[in-house]
Amino acid sequence: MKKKISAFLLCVSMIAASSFTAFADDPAVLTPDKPGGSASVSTEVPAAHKITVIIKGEGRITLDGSEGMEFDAARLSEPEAAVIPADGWKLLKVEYNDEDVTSRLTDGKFKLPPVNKDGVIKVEFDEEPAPPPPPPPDDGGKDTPPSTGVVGGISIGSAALLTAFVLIKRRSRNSTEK
Amino acid sequence: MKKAISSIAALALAGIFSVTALAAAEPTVIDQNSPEPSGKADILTNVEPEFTVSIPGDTNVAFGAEHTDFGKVELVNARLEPGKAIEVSVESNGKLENSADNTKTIAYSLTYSSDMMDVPESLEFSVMLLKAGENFGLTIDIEAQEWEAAAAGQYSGTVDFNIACVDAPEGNGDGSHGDHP
Repeated sequence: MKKKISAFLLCVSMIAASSFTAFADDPAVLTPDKPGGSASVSTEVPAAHKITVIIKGEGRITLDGSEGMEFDAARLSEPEAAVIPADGWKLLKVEYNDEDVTSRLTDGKFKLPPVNKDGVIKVEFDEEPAPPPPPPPDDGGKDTPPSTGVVGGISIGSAALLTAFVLIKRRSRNSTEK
Repeated sequence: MKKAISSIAALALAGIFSVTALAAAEPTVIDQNSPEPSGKADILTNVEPEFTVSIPGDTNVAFGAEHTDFGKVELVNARLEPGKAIEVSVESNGKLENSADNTKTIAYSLTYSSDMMDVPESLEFSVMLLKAGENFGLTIDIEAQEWEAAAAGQYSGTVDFNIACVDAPEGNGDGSHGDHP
């Protein structure tokens, strides 16, 4: 029993001693006997920042060759972003931290300014208009729709009448000359 | 044993004599021959000034924060002579140094506020506190450009505080008084 009490008292005294030591390091109070003290100011600047991608439409983006929707970029690095539209889509707009950087793109790529905070790249793709239907293949008229007989008939008839008219005119001219 | 007893006795006697000597420092005797049937004795004492000033503890500034509360300096208790005040001097070099490369720094400034008065961009100033309870707050200011250009890593700096009991400024008995270069 005595041993237990001794151990308990020893623990209490050790805790008390350690807490007094911690308090002694605290420079939070100045007195006439201790008229000077200091306080430290500290901060941490992160080694990397998160770059988040938001895509509207269909396409993808790479940062220094890696594809994804969220990247870790080293602080003050200048990674290259490449914007790649999906088939049938074209790039409409790119924003980096709410600034329009579309005009800075060369061949779909642009270099980010030195990364000094978390950033967001917003990319907007627009669907390209559907291409016109291809011309019908030349198959000798086999597949041409059947003539109604009206337009084609008139043309053939007109040609025949015209030819007949010309022939009659020539004959009558020849006969008068003779 | 005898030696011990004699030593104690000697000490006791010395104590008695010294008390007698103190009491006899200014003897006053009044008797039938005294020209005045009265006398006086002065009672003297000395109350040493006492004061306690609390200062901010260590502070961590969040990355990107342009204004961070640094806590306050307060005259917690004060027993001062009339016409005296406590002058608190605050001094800093205004730089947080990178732990890996001390040539890389983040510049900061301190703003102190008291009685609705803000004094910005001071790195060295002093404030007088006249009575218990008076205080002034401190803010750490770091401009956005400093954060943008800062290299990665841990940074730290120190703000020094010193107090002194000085003559209170005349005509300024009710509030704190700041002085900065």
